[in-house]
Amino acid sequence: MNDSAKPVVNQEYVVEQFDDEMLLYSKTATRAVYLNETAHAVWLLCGAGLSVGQIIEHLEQIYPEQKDQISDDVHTTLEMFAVNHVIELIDGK
Amino acid sequence: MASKATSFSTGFGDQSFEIISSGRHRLDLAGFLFGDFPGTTSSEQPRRYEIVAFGKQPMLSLWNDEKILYYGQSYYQLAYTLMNEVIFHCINSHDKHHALHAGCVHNGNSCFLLPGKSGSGKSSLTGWLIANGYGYLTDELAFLSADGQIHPLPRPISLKVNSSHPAWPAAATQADGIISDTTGAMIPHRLLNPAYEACEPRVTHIIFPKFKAGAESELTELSPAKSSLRLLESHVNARNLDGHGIAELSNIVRQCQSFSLVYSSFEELRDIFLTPSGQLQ
Repeated sequence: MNDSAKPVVNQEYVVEQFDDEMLLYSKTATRAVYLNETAHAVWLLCGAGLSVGQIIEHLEQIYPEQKDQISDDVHTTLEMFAVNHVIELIDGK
Repeated sequence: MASKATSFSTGFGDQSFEIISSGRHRLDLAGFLFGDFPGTTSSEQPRRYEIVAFGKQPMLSLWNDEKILYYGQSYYQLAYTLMNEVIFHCINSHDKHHALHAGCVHNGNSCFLLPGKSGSGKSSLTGWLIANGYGYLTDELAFLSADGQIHPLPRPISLKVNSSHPAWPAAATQADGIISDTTGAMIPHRLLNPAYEACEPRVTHIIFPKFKAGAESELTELSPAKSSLRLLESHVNARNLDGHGIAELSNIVRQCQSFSLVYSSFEELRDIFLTPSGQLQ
């Protein structure tokens, strides 16, 4: 995954919030995605128009003690989002 | 000896069914299958099925108007086919409740919803629970109102024959009134617990059972989000509901405690379900 790519959120997904977890579900298809706290944060940043690299940088600043893990976590989460059509990755170059 | 045709009416929601039986019958199959269905006040023309039996060792056939749905000698296969037909039509266009592929039992102030796919062990668990004093609601299909009230479809407990499943209590398999062949069995729920009373409680616990041969029993609490996600897998009429019913179903889940349950024998479940200090007591 190219870190300059920008995730664009699929507006068909609706949020169902449960304390620090959430479900995203599609209004038009029987499809739902479970998000833990980390995935929730990534999804929020996807909606802010940031690139993949900017999302990683942002989370590294918030969670410096987890810096080594954040890049992998963000890539894994975004791949899961893309597979489930929660986001579309647009080439940022 | 030939018998005259008899008619049995049943239904649920806006669906009504008429089941006509004619010929040589040794069983009141319609009464056996649908005797505890809630019925309907629908004025729609009922969907008609006819069970025909002829011959000394009767050949059986099941008809929906001119279409034949079953022909053979197995009462179990005919019953299974007819039950699936009726359940399909109860769900297919239903848009007032959440239809969930789930067993359901109650006990005092608790009402346990047991969602799961075929083969998950939910009917076996439902049968075992009612044989041990829980009240029966359904082993297959529960309709939920927005406030979590259960509207069950009570039917005979339907067990598929599967060598990997735990042995069913011997007393039940020897009792009269069970319809079975080499592929499965339907057990009247009153054989397991005669104290049946129709009721529509609110769900308090959602337990996702999974039979796994050789596994140690394990009850694990699930967060509401994870429970909601898993419940969607058993939500069979989502397409008929506004927003696929997910927001409403999530609200029901928030009012409940949710668990996943792995089990390989009933004996291991005693501590969880039957002892006063058990995790679900």
